[in-house]
Amino acid sequence: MTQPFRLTALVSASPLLPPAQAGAYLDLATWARLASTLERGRFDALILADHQSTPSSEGGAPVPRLDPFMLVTAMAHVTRHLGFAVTASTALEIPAVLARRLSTLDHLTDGRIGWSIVAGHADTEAEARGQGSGLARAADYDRADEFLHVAYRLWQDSWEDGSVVRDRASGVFADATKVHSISHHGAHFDLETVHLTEPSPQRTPLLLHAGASPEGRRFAARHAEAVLVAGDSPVDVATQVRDIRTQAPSFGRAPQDISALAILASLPANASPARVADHLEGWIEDADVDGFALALPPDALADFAGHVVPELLRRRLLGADDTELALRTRFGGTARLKQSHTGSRAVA
Amino acid sequence: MSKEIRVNAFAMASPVHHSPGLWRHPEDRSLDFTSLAYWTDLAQDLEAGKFDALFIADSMASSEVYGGSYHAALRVGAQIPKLDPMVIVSAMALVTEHLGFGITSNALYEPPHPFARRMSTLDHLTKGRIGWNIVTGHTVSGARAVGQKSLTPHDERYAIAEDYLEAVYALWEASWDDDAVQPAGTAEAYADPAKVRAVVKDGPHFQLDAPHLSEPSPQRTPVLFQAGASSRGRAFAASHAECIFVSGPTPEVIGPVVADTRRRAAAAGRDPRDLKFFSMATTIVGATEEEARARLADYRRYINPEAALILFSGWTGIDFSKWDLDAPITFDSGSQGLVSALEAFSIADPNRVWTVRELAEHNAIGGRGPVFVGSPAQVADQIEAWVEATDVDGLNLSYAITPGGFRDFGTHVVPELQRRGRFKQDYAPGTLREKLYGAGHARLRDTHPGSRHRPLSAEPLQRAAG
Repeated sequence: MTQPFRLTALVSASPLLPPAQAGAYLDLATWARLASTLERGRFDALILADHQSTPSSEGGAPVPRLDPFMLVTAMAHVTRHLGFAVTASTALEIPAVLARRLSTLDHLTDGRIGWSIVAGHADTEAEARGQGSGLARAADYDRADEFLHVAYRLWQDSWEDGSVVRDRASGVFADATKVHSISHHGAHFDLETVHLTEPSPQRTPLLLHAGASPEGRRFAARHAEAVLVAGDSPVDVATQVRDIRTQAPSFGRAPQDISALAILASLPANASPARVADHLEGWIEDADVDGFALALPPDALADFAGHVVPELLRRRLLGADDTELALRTRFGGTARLKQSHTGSRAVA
Repeated sequence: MSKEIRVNAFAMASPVHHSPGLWRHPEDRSLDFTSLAYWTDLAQDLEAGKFDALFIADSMASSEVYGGSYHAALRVGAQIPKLDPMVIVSAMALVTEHLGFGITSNALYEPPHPFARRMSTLDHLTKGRIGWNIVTGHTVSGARAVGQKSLTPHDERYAIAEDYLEAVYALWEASWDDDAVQPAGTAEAYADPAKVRAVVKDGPHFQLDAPHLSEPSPQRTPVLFQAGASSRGRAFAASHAECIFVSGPTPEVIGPVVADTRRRAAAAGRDPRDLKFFSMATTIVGATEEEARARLADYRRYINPEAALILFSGWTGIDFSKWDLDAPITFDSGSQGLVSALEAFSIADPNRVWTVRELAEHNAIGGRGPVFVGSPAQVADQIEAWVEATDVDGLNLSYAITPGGFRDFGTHVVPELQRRGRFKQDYAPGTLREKLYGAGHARLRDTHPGSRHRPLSAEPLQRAAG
């Protein structure tokens, strides 16, 4: 029997489909509604795709895109369980600034945050398909590895467990001897600071990656707790998943520490809920994935939540309503990074 | 009505803002700063009190001037830890309709292109209620955190910020025409490529060749806040700022800064009244004066003067842990820190020389600003007198305890100011800028330097070949 699977939605903060509703992406109410719909539909997470590459002078007007980070707390306010994985590129961000932004969100969402790591300038889906401009190259992955190393040290090593006291009687907020400045002098980054936020529920956000290139798969095998994989067929996806999982032991990890999510940009048209459920079950079996990232417009996601999810629940293909809030607990772990993960072992 | 007095709430996403030690008070909720409910509750309280905006201070600094390390600050939560304020906004916007949000971001840290998109995103999502507090960072620890080798000298920071503003103005004002987005269903492309332009800029510090990633938001450029009180800071504010944050212990400190900055704005071709000054102040109000005094006495049992010195060390770059508490404070013109903070205490007010101890005691509640204590009528009297003496447009209201201090102000002082015709009866419609300048003024004034980017020199993007 198929195990319950992970269900996520992959959406850009861009003009929406159908065209008559395109401008609704500018309205906070649209995002709050989407989040509520996904939570009612038992989705584990909403993955907010993003990229910041812009067209050259040949490319026509850009498709506008909002900064996905800015959407999260409004959606968190109207939900309790739904996770939010936000895309950010290690080619564009400043490590201490991004680390604090993600820690802030992890605090404010009670541990429901993931980071969809992009190493270049393309978005999650383009990386997964290996298509489009701005794909990460080998040099981008060198930088990404160093970025992650710095981020782990800020998240995992700067504040020891037990450093936060918050004692009203004594007036002591933190035991400063248990809070350490992180000093890093590398090829791409050179900084010195304490992490500016105290430890959040997950410390390190759930780490996701979609990278179809050899460097991308290697990076995923080392860092990712969930990988997003696109392919023309379940067999194609299975090949990629196998390659990533096979590399995991060389980074001290078990192959099953990495959850695989197949990106599905369409579902069988006009099919009954039972047929769609059969289709998904087939993918789970054949593609060796643990779940899905449905790259569908909000209307289609709402339809899915309303019609297909009840069928999936009948078949026990979706987990029971979780009481654990941290996003990582839905991906086979506890709230914190596994001890075997490279981020738990970051050293100076 | 007489000149309207505007009020922003002044906060930081940290256990301490300007009243260190008060998080120990049983009625204070400062320690809930990591909870989203704290912020949505606060936003709703502020909107109920008809506050103009919530202004959130921020930095990447780790308060390591005092004693040469972050240890002393961290022990008492003196502005460390602190959260990124920008991501808190959308939840607060969801539960309010009128409250503005002034968000601090450093012009020397994040590159202009992604930052411009962040602000445009927030301006869209809040329907035009966003302001940006432009800071340039005055701490070594903040500079090192973001990967800079050392702190950039004071005046050079403003030169870099000028270049940064040129870049973000062009992205906000010039890249997309108002009618660039095509009506739904009429065209294949969402936007008309002939009406979207790449911003081409080759500045001394920032180079760009890209269109803005966001379509025009209600205000395009967010309302611009700034807090420079040094000579170079005033020149910057006179040119760019729409709202200016000033702080000091007496009207004698504030008044000349306001007058000088308005004069410089006029010389730059702006209406000096287009600059809205907000003076930092804290109010402690009771039904009667006695009740207010008792409340102040209660709060003072929780103050932490050493932590006040930690914060002052951070602002000035001077390690006060090495000073004799009874030493007079003198102005050190060689300081790379916040020159204006020291000027405020030691130079601009010729009537008083402060000792370190006096300064610590003074700053322990409400930082460098005054504390107005009394019945609603007495507090209103003090506010009116302060506004009269300084020519500021309103207050940046700090607190002894939160959200109680803000709630008390909204419940007791606002109605009194309304009775006197000094405070709005209700919010004006429209964006934050329209609330400041009136209906029809959602965009930068024509006299503002950012507006000069509107007829853009950059080339339109060409249609794709073939």
